[in-house]
Amino acid sequence: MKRGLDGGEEACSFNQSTNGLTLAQNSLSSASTPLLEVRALSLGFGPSRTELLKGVRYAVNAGQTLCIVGESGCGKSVSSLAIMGLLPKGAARITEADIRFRGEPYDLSDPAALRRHRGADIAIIFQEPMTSLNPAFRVGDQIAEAVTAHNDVSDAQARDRAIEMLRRVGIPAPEARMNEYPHQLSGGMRQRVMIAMALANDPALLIADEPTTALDVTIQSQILDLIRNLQAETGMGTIMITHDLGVVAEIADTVAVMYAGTIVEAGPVERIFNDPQHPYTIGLMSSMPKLTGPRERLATVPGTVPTTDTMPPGCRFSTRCPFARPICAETPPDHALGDGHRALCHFAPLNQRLERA
Amino acid sequence: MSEPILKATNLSRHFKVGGSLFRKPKILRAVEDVSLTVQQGETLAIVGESGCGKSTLARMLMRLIEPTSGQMTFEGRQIDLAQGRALTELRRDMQFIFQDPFSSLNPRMTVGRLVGEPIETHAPQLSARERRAKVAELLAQVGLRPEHADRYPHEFSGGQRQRIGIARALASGPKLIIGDEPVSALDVSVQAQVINLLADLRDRLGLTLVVIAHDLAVIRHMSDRVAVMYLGSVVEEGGTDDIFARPRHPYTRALLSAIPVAEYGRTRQQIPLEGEMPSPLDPPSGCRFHTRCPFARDACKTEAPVLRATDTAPGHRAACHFFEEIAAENPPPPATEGSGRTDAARARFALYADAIAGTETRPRAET
Repeated sequence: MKRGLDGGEEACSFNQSTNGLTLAQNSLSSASTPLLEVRALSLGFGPSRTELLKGVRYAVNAGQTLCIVGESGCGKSVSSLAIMGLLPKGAARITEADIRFRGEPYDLSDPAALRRHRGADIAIIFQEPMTSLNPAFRVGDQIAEAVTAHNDVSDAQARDRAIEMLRRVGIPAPEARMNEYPHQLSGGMRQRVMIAMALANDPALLIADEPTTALDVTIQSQILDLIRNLQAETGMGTIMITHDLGVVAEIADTVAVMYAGTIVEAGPVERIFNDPQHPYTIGLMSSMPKLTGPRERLATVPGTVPTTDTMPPGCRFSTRCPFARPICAETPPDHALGDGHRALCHFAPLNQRLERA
Repeated sequence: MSEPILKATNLSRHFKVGGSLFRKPKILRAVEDVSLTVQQGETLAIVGESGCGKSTLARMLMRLIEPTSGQMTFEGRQIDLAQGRALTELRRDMQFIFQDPFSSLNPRMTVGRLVGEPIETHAPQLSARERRAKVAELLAQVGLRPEHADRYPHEFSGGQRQRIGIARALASGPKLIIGDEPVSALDVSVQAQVINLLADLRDRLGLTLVVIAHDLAVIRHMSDRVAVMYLGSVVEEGGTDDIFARPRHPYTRALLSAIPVAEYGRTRQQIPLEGEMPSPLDPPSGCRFHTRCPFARDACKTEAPVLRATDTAPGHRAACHFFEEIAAENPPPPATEGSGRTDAARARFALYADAIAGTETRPRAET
């Protein structure tokens, strides 16, 4: 029954810390230190010497939502899998990892410690709920397993907790749904089950990896509302991984824009949308068809993302950047632009440093 | 406007599900009584959520699935019964672009053969050399290089594969192209490239496009007219700008209000839709949307509405008994505009757009 990757296997201590307690702890810690602070994370795969993730750095506070936005293959999922200790053993070479969780060092090389956190105070939900749930077991049992894995409780207590969680995520008739198998549920319902499982142990941090991408837009808004409400109730911090800038604008407090394994721009959501600095952020936003205003030809980001073999030195966006110059072969400086807004570009802010020739 | 290039009248497609020697199969009503016209040179978008029957409809228009009932004409010729040569000719004039560029290209064929195959079928008189030249021309047209002809699909990224799929669709020299979610598997930056490519090809080759999609922003950008589908039926159709500005059917209004807009500080009031789309195996009686409609009344449960003209613009029709009253009583939910980009950010976006369009930039002497 150990097939579900995420919270299915592990869980936490809801019996030791009630909701109110967790909330108090979270709000206390948010004042001083971030809930999760990734100061530097670099890793590579296989024989390639190029690091897939290079100097990734972000932080999320309790009660807040950090959105990591980027396109396929940029490393946004890999970074969260690394933090959860879910990368295949031996496959990834972690070359640099300086991470704090609740102000304490968080050691990626200690599998036992990671297992204690995983599903307990850090939980994750995935994009495709059908493949993350075990098709051979009833959903109620899968949620209950998450509870018993981290708590010394009886089966009946775990079962009660599972029913309570299903009710909290808005599944009608939870007692009956407990006995259903994943294939009997719709996509939206499955994602609710995943959320119920992830939150069964009152995690302090929820990592949501494209939780609504596989869903229709009317169901997506139901799920986003659910995550937002549960977050307000529990005060947990959330890292939302997405490629959809609309979702980002909707729920983020802070945003990290990722390209080819680096965070190229980060800051408060207002600054990212209203005053973006990095050429990639600007290109990404220009590429999006608009729902209002005139319909103009889209300004695109030319070319495609480099592979690890073709990764350019220095700025990784330089192969697609319309402003690239020779200096871009050097590692770009991390420009601090105030209010926690920063951009990795030699020419930020563009309009002050560049002009039309 | 001229004679429609493609016209479908009362198209339905039912699938039998389950059943055995002693048990009657259930009927899945994937598409029910859909009528559509596509004018020469326009782009029609068919939008709806998963399971609404839009892909089945697209495949029926292409004759990849046989309709259960209904008629179709292409340039005035009846095509729903076309067989043999007539069907081959139809396939020359109408082509299909698939959603998934990973599974729709045969991995064992080179790009040259993939794109050359339709030419072999539809222009058998061409010599191998002429065919190769034509393949190179097609690849150039979709932004690939001639030497790509010798490579295999797995060597390409998703966006490039979609370009190969488009080149293949163009190979027979079609008049109409049906795209089933042609850009939804692609990343935003690559998606924009393919959207621009399709627009260029349409203008250059005078193509008519039918685009199936679920992404409303993409649809607004690409199409002239929109048909909104729910549970197998068209619930609203009309000009794109009109539908987006003045949606009349409650489903369209809810759908539009559910899209998260990529703008900071924009608050929108959603029309909440409860629950999920019912199963087409057992569709609700009367108006199929009444189980989720926040405005449903008793009449909606028994009488099925038909598409009828709205007051907003010619050609805008909605299938709702009460859309006039609903629109009058429930004005469009107010949306607070976003706080908007700073002037400096606007200057940056303009600079970026110019640089993409080819304007040279240089560092300022003094910052």
